[in-house]
Amino acid sequence: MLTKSAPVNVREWMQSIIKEEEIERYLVHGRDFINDEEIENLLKKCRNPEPQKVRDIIAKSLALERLEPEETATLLNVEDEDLWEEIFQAAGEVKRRVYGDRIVTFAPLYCSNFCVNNCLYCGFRRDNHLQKRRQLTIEEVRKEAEALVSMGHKRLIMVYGEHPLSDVEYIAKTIQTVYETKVGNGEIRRVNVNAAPMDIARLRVLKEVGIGTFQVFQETYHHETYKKVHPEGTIKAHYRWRLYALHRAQEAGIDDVAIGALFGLYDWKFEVLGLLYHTIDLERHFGGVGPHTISFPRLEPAINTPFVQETRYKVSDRDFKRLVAVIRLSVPYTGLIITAREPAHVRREVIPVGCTQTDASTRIGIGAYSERYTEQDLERQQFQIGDPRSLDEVVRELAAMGYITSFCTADYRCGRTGKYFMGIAKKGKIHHFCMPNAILTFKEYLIDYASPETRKVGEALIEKKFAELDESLKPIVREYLNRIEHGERDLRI
Amino acid sequence: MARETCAFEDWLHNLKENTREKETQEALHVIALKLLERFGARVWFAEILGKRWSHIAGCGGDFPIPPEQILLTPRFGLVVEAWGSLSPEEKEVLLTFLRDFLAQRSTSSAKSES
Repeated sequence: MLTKSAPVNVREWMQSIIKEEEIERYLVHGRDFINDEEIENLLKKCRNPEPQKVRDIIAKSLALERLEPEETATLLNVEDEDLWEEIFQAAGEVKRRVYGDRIVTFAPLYCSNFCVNNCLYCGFRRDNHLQKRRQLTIEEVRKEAEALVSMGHKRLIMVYGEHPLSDVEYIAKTIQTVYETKVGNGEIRRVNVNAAPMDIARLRVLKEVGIGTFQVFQETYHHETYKKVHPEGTIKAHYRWRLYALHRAQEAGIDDVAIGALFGLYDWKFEVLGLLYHTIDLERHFGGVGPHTISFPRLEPAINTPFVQETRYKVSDRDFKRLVAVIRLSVPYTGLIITAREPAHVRREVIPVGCTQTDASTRIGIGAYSERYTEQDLERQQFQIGDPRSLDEVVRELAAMGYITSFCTADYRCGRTGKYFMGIAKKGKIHHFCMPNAILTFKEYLIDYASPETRKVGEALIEKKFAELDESLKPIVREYLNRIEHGERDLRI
Repeated sequence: MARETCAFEDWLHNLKENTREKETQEALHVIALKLLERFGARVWFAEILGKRWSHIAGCGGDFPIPPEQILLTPRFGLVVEAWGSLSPEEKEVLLTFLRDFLAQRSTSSAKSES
């Protein structure tokens, strides 16, 4: 375990990170694609919308078309509770049409909490002396991966602080280590990455190790707030370096990218529009390929981080459900991730309005999986999580709600990525591919890892979902289910 | 039969000529398109990055059919959803062409060439 900084010149390293020329080519007349004034004006202009206008917009979403900012601003301004019910119903319907009743499940793996930045809301910030700093060695990463594979996970999101100790070479090595790890029938088949923005050369290194999705959250799209919460003199203070991080990833050949905003820093309605403008700009530059997923974490308490208690923009549970539903309707074909930041009751309430992915068995302390500590330890966590339940418990609850837990990674391993994937998703056909594979990977999980109670609920759900499959798919899915029963693994369509 | 073989060889010859000067991604796009037009074959090409097969060109239909994955070089793979009317002999000739074509280009990333 590394517990203190190695002798690297942090200041020199920081100066080598940002490449202005990799930002400038995307600016239009020197401006980025977030026009704060325009967004604020849209939100004002669309107040008190007519119910019929709202229903017309809902109909457009149900036709699986992406909304324009003015349409999203209209939905965000709905006040009437009955209209909100219509929005929730429609969001759930869009989710079912595009993705079916399945939830992709993953676990986060935090590798390092060293950070050169000083973000006011973050437990990992440089000046937080109560945070115990640690970076996993490669051997420790392997142990973490073994622990996660033993639970039944097939997908991870690996998370790194921004620091020369966790530079792209370290990130690449840790990902390769995870991919090499096998325990019995189990292995991690897809590693997504949440790391600091990089230049194109570094992103190419990341691409070479075969990452799934590259995720960078803007935190807040509001320029002035961004400046306030990310102190000057840090890398993260550079708004545009972060804003165009995923444009650079696409340029480097990473074609599955993911956006997000940290809700609680500024007005939630503004942030939803920021996410939409980000989507539109990516689609505009990269042949219609926008984000693979959108995340909407809410600020959670962190050790020695009073900002979290002081912010006036905290998002209530009611507004949280609303913002998820509006994002679902605004970008019908993009995956939405709700995480274990949220307590179980909120996840139960919000998943039906459009979420497609969630994490389970979540531990975000560095080394927490292999050391098997169960209590949250804020001295080595970025924030406090709301739902620490085991994978088995989450899978069982989702099954009881009618959702197949999917461990599928088939598309990513047979070239249905980027533009190809987006083409299928935009036509609303992705569930044709994903539901059979979700059923098959769910079957594997039930046999290899589930408790008897979960297996019982899960097997019943598999039969129900099998009955709903297209008739032409049933013979091959049944054959594969039988082969899985007899010990074969990783069968996919 | 001889005439058909000849026709296939002519088609392949034209394809080689048509793709010789093109960048990898564009060339593979043309190949996938021509295979669909001529034989009804649905294929796509992928760049192999560890466990990831990253899409480069071509595509399958809107409905899932278990695809066949063929390693062309350590760097590039072919995914076949349907061979269409290609005969087993023609498939072999095609695969040899693709392997040779990509072997000459396998040192650089197909998607960051342009």
